[in-house]
Amino acid sequence: MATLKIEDLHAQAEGHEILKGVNLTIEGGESHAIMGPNGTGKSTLASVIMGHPRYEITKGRITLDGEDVQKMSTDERARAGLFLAMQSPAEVPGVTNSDFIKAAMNARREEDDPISLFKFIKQYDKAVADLRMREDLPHRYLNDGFSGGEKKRNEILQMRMLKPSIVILDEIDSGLDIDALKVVGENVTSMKDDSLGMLLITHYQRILDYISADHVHIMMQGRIVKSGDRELMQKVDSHGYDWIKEELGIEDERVIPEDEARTALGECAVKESFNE
Amino acid sequence: MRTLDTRAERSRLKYAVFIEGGTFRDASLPERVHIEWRDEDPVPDIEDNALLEENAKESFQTLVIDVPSGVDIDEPLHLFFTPGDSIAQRVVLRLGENASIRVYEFDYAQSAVTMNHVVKADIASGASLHYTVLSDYPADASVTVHRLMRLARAASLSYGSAQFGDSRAFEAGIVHLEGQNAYAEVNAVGVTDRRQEVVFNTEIRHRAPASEGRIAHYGVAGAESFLAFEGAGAIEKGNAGSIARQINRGIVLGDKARIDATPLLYIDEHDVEASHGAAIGQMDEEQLYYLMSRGLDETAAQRLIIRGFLQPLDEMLQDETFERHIQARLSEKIE
Repeated sequence: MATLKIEDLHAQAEGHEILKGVNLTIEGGESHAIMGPNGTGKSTLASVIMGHPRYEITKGRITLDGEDVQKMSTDERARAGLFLAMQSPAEVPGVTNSDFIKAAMNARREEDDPISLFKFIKQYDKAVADLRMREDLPHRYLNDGFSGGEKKRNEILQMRMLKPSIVILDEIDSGLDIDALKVVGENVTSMKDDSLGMLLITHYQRILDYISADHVHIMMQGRIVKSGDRELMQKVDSHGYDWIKEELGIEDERVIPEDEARTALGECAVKESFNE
Repeated sequence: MRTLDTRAERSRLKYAVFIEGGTFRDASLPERVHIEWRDEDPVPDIEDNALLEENAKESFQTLVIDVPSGVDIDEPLHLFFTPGDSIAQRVVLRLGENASIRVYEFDYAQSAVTMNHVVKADIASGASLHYTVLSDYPADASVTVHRLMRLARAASLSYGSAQFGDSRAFEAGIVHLEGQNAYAEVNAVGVTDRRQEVVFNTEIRHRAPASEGRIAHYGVAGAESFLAFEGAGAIEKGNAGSIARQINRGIVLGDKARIDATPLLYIDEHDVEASHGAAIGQMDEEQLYYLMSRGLDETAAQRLIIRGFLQPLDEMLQDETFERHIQARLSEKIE
C-alpha cells in the first residue's frame, strides 16, 4: 500500500514563497480533501508534488513509500504511482489521445512487451463509454479544442487507464456542469478501493457530494491550518471560511496575489452534450 | 538507415522509377506515361541564377516524364534518385490538360556527394499534380535543389518537401501561377541537428488573376544546427482576386540551434488577400510537463510533441516507404 508523506514543505516560484510548511500524510485507501479560498497555495501543492518546473522546494520533504520524491523527475514520479488530474491540462495538437495514452501505458512496461492493441482498445472504449465522451475521442488531438468539461473527463480517463496508487484531483469540478460532475464523481468513486490514496483539491464543497472524503483539511497562508472530518466540511459549506480565520487570527489568508491567482479560478461550467 | 531495399520497393510499388548515378536502373510505368532521356531540356527555366546555369551546363541529359492530356493515374508514381559522385541532375515532369498524378520522389545517398538537382514541373490547364519529396543525404554531402513549377489556368499543385538528411542543403521551390484560378500549396518541413545548415527558399509568384498560393514552412532545429525559411508571395499588377498566404513555425531545441524566418509579401494589386506569419520558439514547457506527468520520459515526450508539431508530414506519411523512413529518421535525429 502506497504512502505519500509531506513534511514541513516549503516551496517558491520566482523567488516568492507560496508553500510555508505543509504537513500531510496520505495512505492507500484514504480519501483526503484540501479546501480553502483561492490563492492559498492548494494548486501549488499539487504542482510541487508532481514536479512542475516552475516551483522549487526550499525546505521540507515529500516521500512516496519512503523514497525521496524530490530526487525523481516528473516522469519517474508518475511511473512510481503518482497521478495529478490537472486543473488546466496542456493542449498538444497533432498528438492523438489514443497514441498518447498508449505511449504512457507502455512507458510503464518493458520495452519488448508493449500492451496488446486489442486489450488497449477494449479498455479505452470502455473508459470512453463510462465517461460518456465522444466516440471519436481516440482520434482527436490531446485536449485540443476540448471544452473545459471534456478536458476534465479526459484527465479521469487517463487516471483510469494508468491505474496510479496515489491520485491528486486538482479542482476537477471547475468547468463541469451538474451532469458532468455526476459522471466524473461516479467514475472516480468506482476507482476507490483499499489501496488507492486520494487527494481532492477544491474550493467548493459540491464535488464532495459526489466523491466522498474522510479527511478534510483547510489551507490558508500556504499551509494546512485546520484538519477534521466531514463535519468540518459541512461547517465550511454552511458558514464559509471566515470563522476559521477569526479562530486562528488570520487576516489575509492568501499567499498568491489576486491578479496572479485569477488565472486559477477555473472555467465556467458549460452545459455539455453527452455521448448517449 | 539511408539505405533502400530497392528490390522490396519494386515488388511492393506498382509504379516506380529507379535512377542511379544519372542512369535508369529500372522503371515500371503506367501505360500511358512516357519517360525518356533527352539531349535538350524542352521547358525553359522560369528562374535564372548561377546554380541553375551550372546545372544546365553539367547535366548531360534531361529526364522527361510526360503524362498526356486527360490521363488520370490512380496509383502513385515513385521516383528514386541516388547519385554516383558529384552530379548535376535535371528532371522535367509534364502534365497535359486535365491530367492527374501523384508523384513521390525519394532523394538519397550513402556517400559524400555534391548534388545540384533540378526538377521542373509544367502543369497544363486543369491538370493536377500531387508531388511529395523526401531528401536524405549524409552529413558530408552538400545539396542544392531547385524545383521550378509552372501552372496554367485552373491547374493545381500540392507540393511537399521534407529535408530529413544530415547534409547542408539549399532548397528552392519556385512556383509561377500563370493561368487564372491556378492553385498551389507548398509545404516544406526540415529537421536539423548537429552543425547542419538547411535553407528553404520558397516563392509563389501570381501572374494571373484569381490565383491562390499557400506556403507553409515547418521545422525543428537541434544541437548547433541552423534552419532558414525564406518565403515570398508575389502578386503582380493586374492579378486581382488572388490569395497569397504563408505560415512559418519552428521549434528550437537548446540554446545553440537557430531558426530564422523571413516571410515576405510583394503585392502590386489592390483587390487581393494576403497574410504571413511566423512562430518560432522553444518547446512548450507546459506540454512537456504534461506528457511527463503521465510517465513519458523527456525524450519520448519531446518526440511525441515534435511528431504532433510536424503535422504537415501526415500527407507524406500516407505513403508506406516515406512513413517507415521518416519515423526512423525522426528517432535518430531527436534524441
